[in-house]
Amino acid sequence: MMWRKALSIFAFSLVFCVAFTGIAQAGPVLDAVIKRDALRCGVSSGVAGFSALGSDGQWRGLDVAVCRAVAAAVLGNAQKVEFTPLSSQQRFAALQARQIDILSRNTTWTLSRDAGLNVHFAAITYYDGQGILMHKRFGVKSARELKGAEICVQSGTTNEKNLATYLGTQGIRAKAIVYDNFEAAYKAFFSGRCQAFSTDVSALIGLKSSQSGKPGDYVVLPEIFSKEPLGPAVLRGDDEFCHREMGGVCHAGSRGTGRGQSQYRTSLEQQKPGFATHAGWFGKPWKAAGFATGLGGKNTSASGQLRRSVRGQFGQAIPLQLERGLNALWTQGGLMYAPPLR
Amino acid sequence: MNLFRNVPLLLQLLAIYFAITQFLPIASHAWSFGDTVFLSKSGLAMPSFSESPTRGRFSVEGAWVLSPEYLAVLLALVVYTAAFVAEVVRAGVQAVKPGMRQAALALGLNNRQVNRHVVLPWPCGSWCRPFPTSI
Repeated sequence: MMWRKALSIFAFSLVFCVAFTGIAQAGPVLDAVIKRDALRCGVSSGVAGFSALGSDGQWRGLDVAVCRAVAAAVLGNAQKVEFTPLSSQQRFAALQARQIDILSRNTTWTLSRDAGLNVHFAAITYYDGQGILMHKRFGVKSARELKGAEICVQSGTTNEKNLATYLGTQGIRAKAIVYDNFEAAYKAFFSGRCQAFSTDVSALIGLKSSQSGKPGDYVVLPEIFSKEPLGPAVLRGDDEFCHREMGGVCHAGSRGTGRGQSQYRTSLEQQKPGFATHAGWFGKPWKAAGFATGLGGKNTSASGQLRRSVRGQFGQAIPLQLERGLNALWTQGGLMYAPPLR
Repeated sequence: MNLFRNVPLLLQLLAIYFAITQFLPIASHAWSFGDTVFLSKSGLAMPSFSESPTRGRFSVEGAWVLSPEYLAVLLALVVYTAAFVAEVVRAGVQAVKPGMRQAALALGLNNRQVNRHVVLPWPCGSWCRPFPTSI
């Protein structure tokens, strides 16, 4: 009698465990995306090079490309993405309220956000920093020469605090003119109200090329004084979505093409498709990981389909005049370093 | 004057701020009045007790600088309130009966004397009442 009772307990616990592993296989976000058959992506309202709406109604940029690549990996079709433009104040609230699946909005991965906001940052897609933009007419070659200058900055952001800290520690007596929104701040700079403008270098370059009218007249000063690792964020509670799908996609982007550049730089600078040229992307390890080769059972020639739909996503980003800097491959002295495939 | 009284204060404020930021020169090409007062997009620089403004590399340095935001507010309030005050004064002056003016002229006062001794002091009572409500 004892062993019969033990057997029934054992059987029950076995069923229990199996049932639970079944649930743990696919998390809530991934399930919802597959069921809805569309990926909801939160982007910015227009940052050149990262997420900007073109005149043909298509979103383009690095963050947009990441979302499209994830859609291609999960759903097999890179066009199945719904973009929601969000302001800085709304972005995390929208993610936490599950109005979007991925926040891909040139958001900095900080410790306080990781710990306090219930989000995971899947990977770093761009290593950014804060810099200063000036007109060339002042002949300033370094931020140390800015004594007596006025620098426009947006208030209430890490930009304002980082600038104040930098000026204080370097002993530069410049004045910060604050505006409460980004557009007012850069419009004031371009109209001449202040002599310099400070925000993330990627945004500075985007502004220089799109808003200044004469990009050749402006220069970004060489000093970069904060760390801004940008990456997509997802809600905690779905490890599979975060690490397998998103992490896999993002790390694929940071692997090299044969020409010694990362996919991201290729797409940002040359408008050439970078994704599909790397052989390892569609090989066996990816199939083993279940990467859209039957998730939903739709794709027969899955790797060809995937290749076609993912190809050119990164290539459609807007070309920016970017310095190599930290975003080069690790073999070229940069920080783009993806985990090996096998 | 009716324009300044009837257009809302906030709108005048924004228009003056827009004019300051668009039409004044940038700080390195500031207009200078006698080399002591400089006016530009970055504000109005005036000499203070100890130092007077000088043209620095980027903007005017030293001394007492009124920011363009402050100037805009100051100018808008001044213009708006002045319109109201002017209206009250005008009404007071015109309220003096023409007979009083003619009597004074007949007595041999010239125009300036008429204004100073007869026209201006007379309606003071009628002026003092509206001011506390409009300022």
